[in-house]
Amino acid sequence: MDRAILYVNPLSFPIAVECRVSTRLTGRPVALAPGGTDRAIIWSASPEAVCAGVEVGMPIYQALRRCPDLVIQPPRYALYARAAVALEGILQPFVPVIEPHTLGHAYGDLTGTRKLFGPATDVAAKIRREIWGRLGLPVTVGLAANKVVSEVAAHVLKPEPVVDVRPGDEPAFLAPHPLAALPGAEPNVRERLARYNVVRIGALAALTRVQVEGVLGRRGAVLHSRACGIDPRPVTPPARRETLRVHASLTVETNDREALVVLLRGLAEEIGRALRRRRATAERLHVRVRYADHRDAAGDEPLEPATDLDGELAAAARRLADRVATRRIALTAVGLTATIGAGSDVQLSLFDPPPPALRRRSLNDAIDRVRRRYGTKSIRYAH
Amino acid sequence: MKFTITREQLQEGLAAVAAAIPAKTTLPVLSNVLLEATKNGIRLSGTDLDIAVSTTVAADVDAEGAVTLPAKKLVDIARELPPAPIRFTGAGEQRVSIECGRAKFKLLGLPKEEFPSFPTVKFDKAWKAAAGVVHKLVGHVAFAASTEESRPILNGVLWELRPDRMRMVATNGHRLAKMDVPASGGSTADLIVPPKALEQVRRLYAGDAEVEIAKSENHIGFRSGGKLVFSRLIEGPYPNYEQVIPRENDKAATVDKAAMAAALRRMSVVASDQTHRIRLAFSGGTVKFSVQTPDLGEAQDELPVTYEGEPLEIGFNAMYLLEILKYMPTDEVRFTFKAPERAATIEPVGWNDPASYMALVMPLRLVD
Repeated sequence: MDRAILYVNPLSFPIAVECRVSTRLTGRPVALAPGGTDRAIIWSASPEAVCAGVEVGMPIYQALRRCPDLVIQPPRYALYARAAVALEGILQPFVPVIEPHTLGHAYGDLTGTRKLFGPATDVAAKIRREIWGRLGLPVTVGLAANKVVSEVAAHVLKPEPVVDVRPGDEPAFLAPHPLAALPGAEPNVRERLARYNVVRIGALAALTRVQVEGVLGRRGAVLHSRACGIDPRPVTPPARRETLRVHASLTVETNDREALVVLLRGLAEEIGRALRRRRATAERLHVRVRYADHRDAAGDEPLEPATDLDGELAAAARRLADRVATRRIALTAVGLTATIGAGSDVQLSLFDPPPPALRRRSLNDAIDRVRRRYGTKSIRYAH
Repeated sequence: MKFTITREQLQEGLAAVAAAIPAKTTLPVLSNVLLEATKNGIRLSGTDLDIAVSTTVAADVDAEGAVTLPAKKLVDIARELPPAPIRFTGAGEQRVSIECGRAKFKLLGLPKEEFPSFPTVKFDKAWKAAAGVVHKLVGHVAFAASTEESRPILNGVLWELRPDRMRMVATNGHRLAKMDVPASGGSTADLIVPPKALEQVRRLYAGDAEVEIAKSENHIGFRSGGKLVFSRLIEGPYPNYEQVIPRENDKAATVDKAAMAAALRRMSVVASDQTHRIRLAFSGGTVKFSVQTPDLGEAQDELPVTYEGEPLEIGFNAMYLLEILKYMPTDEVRFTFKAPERAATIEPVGWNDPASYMALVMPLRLVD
């Protein structure tokens, strides 16, 4: 049985949601960026703003120089998350297996539903109509035999609401598109391939797997398969793991390690407080830093045992930052994401944790009580 | 090399060494069994470099010699041969022909020189113990050793040999088992032995046999009859387990082991697959079990119990409790507690045995 995988691609999702909530934004150049500093980075931009030269990842001051009429709004992540859930709710009656991708985007597996819902193309068109009718959000839907081709289809042929790539047509469909359209072909990968004049997906597919591995190493094999339209990855519903995110934009770009440590400590305390409030523990910590040249670096590590202690979270954040922030370029933003453990109970150890860990737990509880009563800034660690 | 052996003797010898031979190895000779024909019989040896087992079986030896042969193939051949004398004849260093009735095999092995030499352990100052006593110690304690590689020292079983007693302790950091048995004579030593070696000892030696136990600098050896087991000792200081054995637990519950285990198994069905979390609430004459697992469901149960102390709610990994209960030798067991975040002890009640046995288990910190 041929697989039928669809990819739902809402166009400029956060901006579309904002425009739906506030109609005055419709048709105007709009960008989303955290407030508080004109060095904050543009997180999302409307097509009108993009036409005016605004780019995602650009600082606000630079975007305003290019587009003085630009309307800048702080992102409302909770709103977009609600919209993404609503969008998934529309997919659910038609699509047995859904795998959310990035915000609002999702893969769906329609394999074996033909007798139930009709041809996959009709289902995709119906989904698109339902999303537009009920949420007012424009989407394109890519349909193919695997994830990578459906995703490329949904992205590259935007005027077409539904694109169906028939089984066997994948290489021919992918070939004329630039490498940037291929999931996994990151800028550094494209840069290396461009040295060999490989700038289109077809050119990459024309090489042998061994040749691509010679340039890109072991990951080259995966990219080569994708360029040939081969992608065996199943559509898998996500494990329901909640995360807590905090981030801060630096008002002054800096690569001062001490300043970074202080900032991380504050973010770790914020995560720790949120965890304790939810009576949960974090089992993995992820750090992302953004450099002044708009490049990101990120890393994560497991927390064993899972913890909600400020000190342990801060220590892990510092270790990660030491590992990921290795370039000698100033930083503009730092973010921490904690993955909440599947079970928030902690198996106590006979030999660990040592007594100081228990004392730190009592200390955290006491600090939380003070802060609840007198405010967050009423008490702080001496750094 | 030329000898004749009965199928039963060959199978007995192979069964003794086969468990020490690794199924997969990067060193081909380790898949082989070393056969040495001596005037005392046939010595079969196998090793995975950590544990070595050697045994001697009776045979009619015409010409001495040695060769290594693929263990699995030899076991398969021995199993399929008819019940008749088997004649082994060496042809050169690596080739052996095996004849039994009208069946003939030619097996290609590896030269004896490639087989690793066994550790040198002198048995002149060996401790002596009844194999049954060693079995009892291993059978009640080894299960608690860790199988994770993060703390290699916990992968071993601590064996304390003293002039008046032997003690075995094993822990994975969350639960601990300890057993003392009286002993007489012998010197003092603390050995950390891999559980796999102790299991070999338990498997090889009959309960009524006397086992000699000796150590070299970093190996331990066991000898009884013609059977020898050698193992590498785990080096390093064992955690101070005495320090974590609670002395001030002031709450005690005596429960029926079978009923407790049955209730735990019932609750485990709905418990989290990761933490196996279960909540126990002791008060008055009952213990209430409850499990709540998000995305799955909940369950409750209750058992009569003899409980002394303030009411207590405590969380445990149900698997740890079930495992400990499995090794408790009596129908009733006694739990003692201090607080929800302190170690609980579990001991047999009314055990009529000179040995003393206890287990510890650390609770799960419940966050709701």
